[in-house]
Amino acid sequence: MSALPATIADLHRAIAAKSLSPVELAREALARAERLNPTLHAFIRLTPDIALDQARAAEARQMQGALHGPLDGIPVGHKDIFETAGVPTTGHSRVMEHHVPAQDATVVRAWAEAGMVMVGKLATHEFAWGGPSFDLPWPPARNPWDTTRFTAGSSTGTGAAVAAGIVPAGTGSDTGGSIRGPAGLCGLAGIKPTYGLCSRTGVLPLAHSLDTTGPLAWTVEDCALLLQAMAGHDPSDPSSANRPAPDLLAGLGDGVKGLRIGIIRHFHESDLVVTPAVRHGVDHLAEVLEAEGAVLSDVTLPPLMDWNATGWLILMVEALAVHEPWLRTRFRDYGEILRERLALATLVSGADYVQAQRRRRELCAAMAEAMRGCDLLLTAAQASEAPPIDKVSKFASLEAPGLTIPFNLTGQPAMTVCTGFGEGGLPVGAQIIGRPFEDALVLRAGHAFERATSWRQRRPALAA
Amino acid sequence: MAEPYPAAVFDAAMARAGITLTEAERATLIDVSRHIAASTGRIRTERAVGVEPATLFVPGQRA
Repeated sequence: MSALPATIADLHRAIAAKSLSPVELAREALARAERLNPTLHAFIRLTPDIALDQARAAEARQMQGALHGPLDGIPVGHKDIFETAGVPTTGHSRVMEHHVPAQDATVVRAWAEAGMVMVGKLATHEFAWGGPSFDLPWPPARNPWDTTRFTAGSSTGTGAAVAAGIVPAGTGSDTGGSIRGPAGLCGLAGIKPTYGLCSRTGVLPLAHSLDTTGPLAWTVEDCALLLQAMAGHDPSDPSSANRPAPDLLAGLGDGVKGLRIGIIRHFHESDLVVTPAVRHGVDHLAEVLEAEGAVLSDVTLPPLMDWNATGWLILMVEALAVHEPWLRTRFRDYGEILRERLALATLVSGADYVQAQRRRRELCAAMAEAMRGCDLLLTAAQASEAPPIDKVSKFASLEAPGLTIPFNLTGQPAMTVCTGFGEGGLPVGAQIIGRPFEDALVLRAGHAFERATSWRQRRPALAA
Repeated sequence: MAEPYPAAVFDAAMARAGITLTEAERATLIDVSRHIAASTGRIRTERAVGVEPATLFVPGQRA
């Protein structure tokens, strides 16, 4: 009998009860990857030797009754911008095709120390920005709900692998929505933690003042378990918040009674008009949380287009600074999409960048003011159900505003939860947003919603 | 929608970055540059001369 697909919480119960072998679980994850990857392209590299070594160590702890915790023996994949010692970390790019790091990224090491079993490295948009691309050394990941569809990006392989039940979790990074986008289109839970809560050391950068790392998983509860293991101060990351890691699990089941929740309707109803299913999903999330005891109100912020313009100008310039040395020498080694986006970034002047940072400060102040009357905010996570992968515009992020980048600008925690299914049986998602360093409250609300609904019972047919 | 960047400005930016484009790429990117122009216009609100940027970015800090 197969153990996958399953949640981390369920797998842990079976491992702790010694009814599931971590070695057999790792073998099953590897076999699922071998079977599904030719269709999904979720992994760009499997690491069976590492997986089986780590699984044997977990099994030894299991037999001794000395498990490291709820993640011990759980298979995982890492987005290929997370450095892994001795295993190529390429950014899904020809530019770094042969890069073999000497050390693990801090958060990769944290999950390994918690006992997680690395099955392989996951596809990403090129350097977490350029995609979906068909001219890179590896093809783009495809959506398990419909393999002709886009996963959203940039944590493409993580979205595909978790939705397909190959692994119950994976790492993501989020600079403008790269965790919350794939979580939405692939029907998962994914949290962009507060900026500074999780280390970025050993993670290939996209834009330093916006970059965050976080987990994607099937449920909010699993995200809480994963985030607990990766949160905390890292002196080697200058952006890391020097404060104790919060307890993300103690109050997870406390519900939302009495919480004040603001809905940013104009973001998804007028600034960007989302599809009916996406809009219904936000309304459904709000109604469920209200039925659970939350108090709802509407919130108005500056127009979404202002957040988008500010965020993308900052992102483009900071990304250009990262890639500047290679533009002169390796320009044709980038895929077409990233190559052209970086070329466009050269048009943004130094004064433009500073003006964007001044606008950012104003936007942060507007958000802080709005949140004086709210504990949490809600809005959509995506414009529509997953589009065909070959119909995604190269410049989509410039042509229409995105719903996720506002919370990269402010640094506050934001999570996508699956709120149902729309056209073609494709999943839709909405965001729950909290105050900075109140990640636990975001998780608590997401968990309350999942407990009160049955959306987590439906898996892609391909995952059976 | 804003106008694209003038070709001379666009070409100067590419030259400064050391980027050589094909004619097709150049034409595409000049056209798309209207989105950059629109964005740089949108971030310039009326503000007091002393308004600080978020150069030291701390989540939750009040302006």
